[in-house]
Amino acid sequence: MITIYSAKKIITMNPARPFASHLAVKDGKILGTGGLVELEKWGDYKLDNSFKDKVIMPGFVEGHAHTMEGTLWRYVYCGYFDRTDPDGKIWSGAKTIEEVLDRLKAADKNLAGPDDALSGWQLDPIYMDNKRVSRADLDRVSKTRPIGILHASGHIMNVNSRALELGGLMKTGINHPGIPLDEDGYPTGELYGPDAMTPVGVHVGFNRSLTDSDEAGLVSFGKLCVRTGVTTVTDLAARLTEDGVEAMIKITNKQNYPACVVALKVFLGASAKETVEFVQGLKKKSTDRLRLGRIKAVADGSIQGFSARMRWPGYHNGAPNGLWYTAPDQLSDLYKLSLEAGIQVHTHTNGDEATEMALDMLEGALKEHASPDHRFTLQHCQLADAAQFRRMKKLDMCVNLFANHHYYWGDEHYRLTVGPDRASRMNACRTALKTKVPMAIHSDAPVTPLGPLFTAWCAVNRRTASGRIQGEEETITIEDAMYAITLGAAYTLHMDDEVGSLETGKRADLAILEEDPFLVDPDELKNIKVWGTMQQGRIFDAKLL
Amino acid sequence: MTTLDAIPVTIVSGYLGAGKTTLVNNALRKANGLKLAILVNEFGNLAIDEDLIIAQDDNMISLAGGCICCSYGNDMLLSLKELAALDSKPDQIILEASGVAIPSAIESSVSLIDECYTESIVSIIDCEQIQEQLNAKYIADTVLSQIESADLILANKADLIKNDTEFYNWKENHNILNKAITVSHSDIDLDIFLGITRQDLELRTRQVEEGHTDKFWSKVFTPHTSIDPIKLSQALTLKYLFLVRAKGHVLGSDQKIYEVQSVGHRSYVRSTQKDKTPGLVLIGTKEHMNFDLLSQSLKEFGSLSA
Repeated sequence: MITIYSAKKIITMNPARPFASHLAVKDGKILGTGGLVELEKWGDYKLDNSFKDKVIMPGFVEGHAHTMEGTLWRYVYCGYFDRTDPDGKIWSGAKTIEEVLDRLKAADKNLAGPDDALSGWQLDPIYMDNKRVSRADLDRVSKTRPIGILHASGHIMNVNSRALELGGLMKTGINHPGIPLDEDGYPTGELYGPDAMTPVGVHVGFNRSLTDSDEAGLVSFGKLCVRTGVTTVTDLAARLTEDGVEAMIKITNKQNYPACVVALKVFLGASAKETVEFVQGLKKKSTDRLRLGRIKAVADGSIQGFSARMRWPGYHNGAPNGLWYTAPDQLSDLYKLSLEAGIQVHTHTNGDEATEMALDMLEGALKEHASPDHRFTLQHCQLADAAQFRRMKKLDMCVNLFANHHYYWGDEHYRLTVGPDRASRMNACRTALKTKVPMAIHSDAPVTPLGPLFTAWCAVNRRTASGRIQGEEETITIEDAMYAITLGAAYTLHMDDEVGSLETGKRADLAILEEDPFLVDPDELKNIKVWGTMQQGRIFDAKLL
Repeated sequence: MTTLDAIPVTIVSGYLGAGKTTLVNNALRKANGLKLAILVNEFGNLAIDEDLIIAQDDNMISLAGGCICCSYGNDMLLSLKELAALDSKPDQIILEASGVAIPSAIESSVSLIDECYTESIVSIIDCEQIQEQLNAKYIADTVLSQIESADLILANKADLIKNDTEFYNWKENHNILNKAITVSHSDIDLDIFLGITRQDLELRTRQVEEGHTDKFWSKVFTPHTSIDPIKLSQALTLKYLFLVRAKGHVLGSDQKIYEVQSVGHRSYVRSTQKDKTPGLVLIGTKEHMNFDLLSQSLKEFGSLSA
């Protein structure tokens, strides 16, 4: 059966036919776009005018997110910025530590058992004059139940005395760089890095497979996709255990699951050879809505955590260079074996030395295993300079830049981590485009909220949280930003033949909007309301989730 | 001071290809009743020689002689706790770090749990590669910090050194490497790599047993009564003495028996309730052998066997 949808405007992102008034869908695919008269020629059809006053775009593609955001929403939201949960409730930002504590106190009353853990997430003291939440603060919420709040970065956690006790850390004499001590010799309750966080984290709901989403979390994450116009989304660093994959297949196969999830196996804890073989096997398990068969490698840490690998002159505040998470030789092995096997690798690089290393390793690997159209992608790649973008181009690489980061931590980068000069060129979208490196932009949800229109706003305006425009020379046009969140991201996943534009034969995936992103004031991009989505021809109304 | 039932952890560090895995496999072959638990970052790279494996499931490999091997994935401390909670508790844990791990960071983490303590950090380098690695574009600082954190450095693949004179001159003049012990095929005595086991210690101090291999000497040191064990332990780490390892018991000025141990620049003292004969075994390299200096430096604490 053919359905023809009318719309106020259909923006196809297909240069051969950029705008249309109607769209014909059959069997979950696009039969064609154009005027009604043209589309009628396909035969019997049902005309659907539900979207006659909506603007339709290709469903957005989020090329770097983690489905764990779905699981985090069952904890108390402690973030500074307003944020929408999977059920559409807008949580106002907590602006002071007192507000955070009040929120926890309210949640405390709703917990059944006196020992039940109380967990919060997305705290960011940077916005609270860097005032820290202390163990004593959290003890005022409860002394009997363990309490833990994960910071927005995901690399720091604040816990109360009971949590420290359960984790075996409520003692004096600790000598660990990730565990600062109070005047009384006991830990302050602030824990830095996975080694310090994990022993306590397991008692406050943040277990060691933090980046994995469970079934309920995956369902919640799907709802967030609908609310933000996303129809294809990555789960960029999944462990993909046997159980995990089965759960993902089960949930995404459900008739009402609203997104196609592209899950990448993280390169950690197994050799390159094993990982590539494992992923080759996984690839065969792919379904319509769960795509497997790609690898995510992590070269270094984070810039605000000072664990990213930096080239000279290093960190602006003089902090020592960061850490390698994967050795150059291991990355080289992974690249060679993956190129040979036809498996795509996405590599997290934050610092510019990490980017350089990945470029060197891929250049070497390509000399041994020339591989047309490999589309190996650098993820984040926040500090790449123009010369590095030129090398990416020469090596046929793609890049997925962290546009949202610029808004949330841009002021910190300016002031503290990399200094004014390099902060202005972070996430250099215009340089990437000028150099013709295929580019996407991302949220890294849950680190920052899922929402491609917001991400586009970040890349177009380059405004930091304090309202400054940082690096005007690297802003991009709305057209380029809209391309980046559709075809651009699809290209980095080798899925531009399937999604990212509205063309005959492609998946009927739509973002259904209340306004036209191309016509609004650039500063209004992030405020465009999303009505919902269509995914494989199935309609999802955000109000009815 | 650590408690006596805490399990010693030897952290094995070194860049890829230095010989960590071979070192661990050699230790398993030499274990001779010592129950070793091997904790590796990843099972992938054929962590254990196949002929040593008795059984294997997802999380654990059972090995000949009651030894085991586990991978720690992303929760090292939990793995250590699990090993300490085993019915058949291991005598010693060898933690094989990843090629880019900084061992001092691992040590900090181990210090968070009471079940284990870091016995030593052993870093292994590849003689053929090390000069290049210390100047290499990406890994120089990583390799350097692996060596700097080490209590014991094994300079492996000595058989592959092309120009001996040039290499040994370089090594001797390279301040942090001059105490490195050269080995080939990661082959090293277990009492150097892991320390002298407690059973062995009793035997060797009682019989005033001296040992000499082609590379090492060992002597028994008889402490005076009523000495300060902490001061002795610190003296044993004096760099110019070039002691590789020392271990034994002394009678403290409080009339209690203490276990004293040193390896490289690390030393520790633990009170022990048990009835032990005072005496220490000292091990050094023949390359740096100066018994007069040693006797002189330790004179206030006791005397060396002849």
